[in-house]
Amino acid sequence: MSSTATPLKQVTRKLPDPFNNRIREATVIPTEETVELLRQATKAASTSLGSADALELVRVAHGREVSAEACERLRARFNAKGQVVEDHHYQLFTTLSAITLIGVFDRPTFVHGLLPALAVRSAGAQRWAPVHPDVFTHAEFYIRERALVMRRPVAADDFKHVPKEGEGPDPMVEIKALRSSLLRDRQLRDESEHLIWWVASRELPRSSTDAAAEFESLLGFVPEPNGAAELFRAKLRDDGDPRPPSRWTFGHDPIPVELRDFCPLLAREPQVAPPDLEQALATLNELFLIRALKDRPIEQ
Amino acid sequence: MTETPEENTKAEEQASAAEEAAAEETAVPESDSEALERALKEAGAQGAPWSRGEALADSEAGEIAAERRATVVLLAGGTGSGKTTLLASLYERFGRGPLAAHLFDGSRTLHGFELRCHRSIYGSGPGGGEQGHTAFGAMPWLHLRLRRDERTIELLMGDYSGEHFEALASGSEKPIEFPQLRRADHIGVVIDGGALANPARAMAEQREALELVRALLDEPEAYAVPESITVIVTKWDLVLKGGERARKAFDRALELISDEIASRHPSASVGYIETAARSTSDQLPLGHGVDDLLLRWTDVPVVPIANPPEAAKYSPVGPNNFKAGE
Repeated sequence: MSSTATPLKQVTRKLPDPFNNRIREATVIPTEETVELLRQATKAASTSLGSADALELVRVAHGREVSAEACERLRARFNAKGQVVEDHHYQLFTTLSAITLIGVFDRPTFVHGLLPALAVRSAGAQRWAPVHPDVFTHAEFYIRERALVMRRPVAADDFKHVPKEGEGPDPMVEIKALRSSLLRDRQLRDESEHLIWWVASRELPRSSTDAAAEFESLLGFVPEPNGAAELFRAKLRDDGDPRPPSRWTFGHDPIPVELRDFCPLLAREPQVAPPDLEQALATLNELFLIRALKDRPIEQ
Repeated sequence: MTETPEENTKAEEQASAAEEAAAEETAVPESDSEALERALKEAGAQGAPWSRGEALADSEAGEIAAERRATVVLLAGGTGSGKTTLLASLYERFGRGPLAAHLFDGSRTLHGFELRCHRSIYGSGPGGGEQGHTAFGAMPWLHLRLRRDERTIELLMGDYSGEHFEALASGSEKPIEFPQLRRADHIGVVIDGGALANPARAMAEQREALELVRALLDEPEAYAVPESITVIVTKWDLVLKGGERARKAFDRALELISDEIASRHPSASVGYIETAARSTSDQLPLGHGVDDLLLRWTDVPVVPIANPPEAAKYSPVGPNNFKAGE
């Protein structure tokens, strides 16, 4: 960065650009070239993002401490196309991490963002403050959109095979797609039936953890449906009549080392206490985190 | 007999080693002040931005912001309204000890502050423009590092020439062309109390301040949030000396500005602060109001601009379902 005098008047037509709005958390008045360089850095950092780095980005974006190696690795991602982050640029590092995550959440495919989005939600439940509020809102939007996409009814042309140029139609591909669509359709139907049964059943889970584990075991898709809070409310409603305790104990998989700080509710000693809506939802999120990590394990 | 290139290089190396040894033997030990001077020169030669302690350019201020979240403050007002004097007085006030529970923890622009203090007392001096006012193209950013309750606060204050804001108020330039305004966590619209106390200038001062606020509000994208705007009246001692008439002139100016802001942002609360940096009144101490000003700037240091997901506009989930922290 050169240290030349810059006039107050600078014609910048892209002021309301969300990127500029976010990068202002770590800059004063960056030049167009600097902004472009930073933009490229976040793009480069979000490509081929593995589970380990995604979780570290969430930690950094919330101002949490990460290991020196992780810092080094992430900084190298940002500096892949040119030196933009120095060792002492902590605020810039944090801000770029946040912007990178937002970039991942804004992608139209719903593959890479699930684990970090759930981790951001867990961070929010623990009152970790992100460097920019957009991290939370975009993660939440990603989760809700994914919930819709995953449960989208099977459309008539879902299994249509569009042959590549020069290739003829492939009936085997269509049959495979049809089978998978039917399977998904059945899973959808099963999930909604299970949920109806769960809400209608008078058995009351013994704790928030049990309520979350019961609910999670009924779901065919991650994350929870967008009406989950309402379903929980209906299930936990106290109508005055005594209710029998639930006969089911689902338990949960052990918490992977990589997720320990994101799963504080599951990590504590099991407690028998009337289930609480907020805690049950936060615990459900932690269970999803474990499930998501199983699907996309930390790369070695 | 001719020497090979290898032998040549060897001979050169030996000669240079002998020279170095001789220089070491005859060298006079460097004194502390010489070492400091040399270090400063080296730092200056390398272009270290704060080696001279003068006000910073955008890129240098950006270095500070990249290290830690900096609170950016911009004082907007006409030439001679007292913007620079107010900033100088804030710095001077720390010379007498903590201010409003803030401890001075350093500055990368000590020399810049000293120059401004000199100019604000003697009316002229190095680094100033006409009549000692801040020069049009002067480096703008002054830096203070403060500590408050174990929290470190990086304060970056833009000291721009009043001519810029006069151009904004007159409409010859647009606020959207000043990205500093949008970046600012706090924009202090400065009203010159001395002008309000002068019956011949009071109306013009009211109008100019109102026009500046109006120009700003006309372009909502030019500033972060309406709450970032604060009205600061300088030279409050002169308003007190001016009696009832001056007081009424100030009340009128504030009413006009408040109404203007309320008409665009009914829910925004806009504060005002009275200051007298170089008070000539017995009733007001020197640096009156700078503590309030500092509290205003550091109590609400962060103004992040939220951007709902673009796709939310077209989604059944909807953009209104997303509010940070809920």
